[in-house]
Amino acid sequence: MIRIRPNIAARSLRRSRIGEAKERIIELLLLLCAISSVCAIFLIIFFIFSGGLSFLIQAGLTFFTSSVWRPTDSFAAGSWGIFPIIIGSLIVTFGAIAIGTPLGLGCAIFLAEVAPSAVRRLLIPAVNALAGVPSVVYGFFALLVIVPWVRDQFGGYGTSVFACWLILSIMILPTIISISTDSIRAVPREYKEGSLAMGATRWQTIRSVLIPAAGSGIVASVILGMGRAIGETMAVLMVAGNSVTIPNSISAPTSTLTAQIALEMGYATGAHREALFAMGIVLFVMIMLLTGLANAASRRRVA
Amino acid sequence: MKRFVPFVLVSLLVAMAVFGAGCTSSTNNTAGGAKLQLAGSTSIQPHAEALAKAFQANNSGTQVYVQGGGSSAGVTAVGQGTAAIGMSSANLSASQLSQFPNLKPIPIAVDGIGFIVNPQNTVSKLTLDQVRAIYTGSITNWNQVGGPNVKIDVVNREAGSGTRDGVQKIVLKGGNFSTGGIVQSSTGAVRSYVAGDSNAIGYISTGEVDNTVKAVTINGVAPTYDNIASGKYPVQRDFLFVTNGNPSGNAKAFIDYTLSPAGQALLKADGEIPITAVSHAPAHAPASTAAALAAR
Amino acid sequence: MVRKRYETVPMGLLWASGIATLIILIVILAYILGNGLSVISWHFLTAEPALWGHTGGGIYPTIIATLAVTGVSLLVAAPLSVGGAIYLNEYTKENLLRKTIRQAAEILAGIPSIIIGLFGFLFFVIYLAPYTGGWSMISGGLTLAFMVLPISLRTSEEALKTVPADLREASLGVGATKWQSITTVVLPTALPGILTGLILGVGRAVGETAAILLTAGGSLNLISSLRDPGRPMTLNIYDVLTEYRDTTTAYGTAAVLIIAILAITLITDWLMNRYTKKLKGL
Repeated sequence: MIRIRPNIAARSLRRSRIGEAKERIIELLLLLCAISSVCAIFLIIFFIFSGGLSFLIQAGLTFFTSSVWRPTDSFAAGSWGIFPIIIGSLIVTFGAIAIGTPLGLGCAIFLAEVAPSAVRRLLIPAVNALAGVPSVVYGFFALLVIVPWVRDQFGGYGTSVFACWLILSIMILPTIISISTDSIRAVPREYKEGSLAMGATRWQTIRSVLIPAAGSGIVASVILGMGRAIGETMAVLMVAGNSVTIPNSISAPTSTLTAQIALEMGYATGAHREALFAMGIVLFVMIMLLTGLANAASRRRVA
Repeated sequence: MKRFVPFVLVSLLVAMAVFGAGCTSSTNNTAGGAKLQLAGSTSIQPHAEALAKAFQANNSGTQVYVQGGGSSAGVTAVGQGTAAIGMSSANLSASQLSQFPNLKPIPIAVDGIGFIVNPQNTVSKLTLDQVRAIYTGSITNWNQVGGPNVKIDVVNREAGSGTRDGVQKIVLKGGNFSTGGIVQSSTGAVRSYVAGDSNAIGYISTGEVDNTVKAVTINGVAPTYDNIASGKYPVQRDFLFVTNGNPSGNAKAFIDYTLSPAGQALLKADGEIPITAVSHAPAHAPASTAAALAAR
Repeated sequence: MVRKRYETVPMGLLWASGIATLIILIVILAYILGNGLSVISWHFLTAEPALWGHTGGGIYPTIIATLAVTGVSLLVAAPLSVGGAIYLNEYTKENLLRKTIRQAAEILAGIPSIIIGLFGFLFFVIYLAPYTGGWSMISGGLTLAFMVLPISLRTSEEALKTVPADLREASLGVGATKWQSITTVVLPTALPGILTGLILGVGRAVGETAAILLTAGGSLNLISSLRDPGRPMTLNIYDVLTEYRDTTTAYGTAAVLIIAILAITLITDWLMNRYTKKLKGL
């Protein structure tokens, strides 16, 4: 941004020092506004970690390796193993990615390269609408439609890993679609035109040129989708079954970090509450790692 | 577009002003003022809401807020001062009392815990031992208790639930639940789950059993009003209102109303056994019930 | 020809993905609105809820609660995000501070709502209880502000970025101060984009549940002040489904929510279209 110095005549008309002080104050206020996000993160990290870090240290490695979760108010009387819960979070997330990525990527390619503009004008608001549906409404739909269907098809509880996969993959679709579409459209036209000029078909061009070129953006979208899936609470709370066990089939119930926290937070006191905050720390760290990977992947795109 | 900007800004300002006015018109939020906060057991919640509505009709100055969250949440809330009255369907535990030494439990009703199955399930009778075996994982198939050859879908409440606590104390005799069951976080959730899954078993307050589920008899005794009141039905517990220290102000007024004939009649109409109707102390009754009865 | 057939399969799959996505949306909307639209009536929107076990109540207190927490979150997040965006775009160059703040906003946007709810519970409900009233609309709204902030910060910054430099220079050239330039020239030009960001944030706030679950209190009474607990519509769907088994009210509330969110989506799309058209006209 080029700063133009007002000419001397204008300067002589300028306001007095009081006006300048006012400008400084405004600038300071705006600076405070700007650093509010940084402050917000510090606050969140401070409170979450102060709530759970000492517990984490006290519980040690068995917190992650034990499968027995019997929380009580006092540390000594309880069993604090969250291994099945971590596994549950990972299983539902990876399944959601496995289902959502092909569908989302396909839709993104469709939007970027194949769809006629009339269809595009219909589909893009549709994807935005999908992004706007509240998670509790997704959970509502899943509880009333998907869970009974899973129960009919596979027997068992219905509230299961598979039900989570289905609804979570739908919930991460908009993330994957919108970012991947942008990535594909950002590929320089010369790549596509060069490929077509050499005689490749549209699909060959998409497959061998566009997707690899947009690769890091697509990967970033998937990782962001992963972050959304692993952080999802309400829908999972309603359809996972909340059973602290490692699921032995896709129709078995499970629990995730988010759902377990939401389920027990209202009444947990003492060591139990600290344990939940410790789970929050675990969740937070997992998501930071994933976001970090996403940033690294999309930074590669600039090169 | 420019035309809309002032309109939007004005609406925002108006909205802010309205909320600001609402903010400053708040009179208080302490137990002695016009706002009474209850929190806790989802088994007690519907009854508390009915009591609140009736109470507010007679005491127009007080607003009674009823929140769920589970028995432990209610006790924690009252101990920390975020609620004036906690609703607990389990007796206060030693750790709760050591954490908040001034808690005062006041029994208001006796409630049975019914074990419910889907109406299509052919099983209608279970013994207490069978229920224990189901919930500790030794019995896993309905054909072991006289039903079809299909796996039992076990439904539990969350760990903070007073109902779960009651089942653990009375049925499991302090033992541990098996980990295989799923967890639903409220009375209504358990009921609607069991209503939808023909192989499920769950437990809810007997006052909440309706025709979407079927309550089994335990040791041949059905969870009827008379059986619970007389103590024949073994799985029962007290509903407690818990206060921090002796109740005062409108907390006391509300509790007095609950224990009055009008309040007790309301509870009875809702399917609970009013504490004043219990002429004996049930086998596992806590000292508080005996004392409350003695005080009458 | 082999090449032609080879082409139609992948093209067919791509079309299928696009159509499948559309169908998913239609199925969900049809299910919710199909069951829920018939529940919506003037009575439903303005009456108090029925007691447990009874039907025929309304969701008026939940609508007010939603407005309350959304209003509080906007009140806090709007000035912070717009002010912050102005500072970032108008007063700094592309330097470390700007990158740090932008990174912080990205991280904030990625934090799961349950964690923000945990924080809100500890900070607003427990720690600041004397000021917020414990579980209350204020606690819920302030917690939500943490989620609205990154969205509107990002969008506002982009909106400001697209204002052409010539406008600013011209304004400074005629002797206006920096702040005068911003308020009279830059902001009005960027306003549609900024409003879009705020509206997107509103959409997020309206649809949020997990954070509200831990901070707003969940009581069904009509709030008489912002320090009262309340139950916004999203929380109502969850409570009503799991505790009361009142699927009718759940459908109705969900339908109202969906309509509100759809309206927000449409308004945002329309605003963005007008905004980009307007910029092209410049």
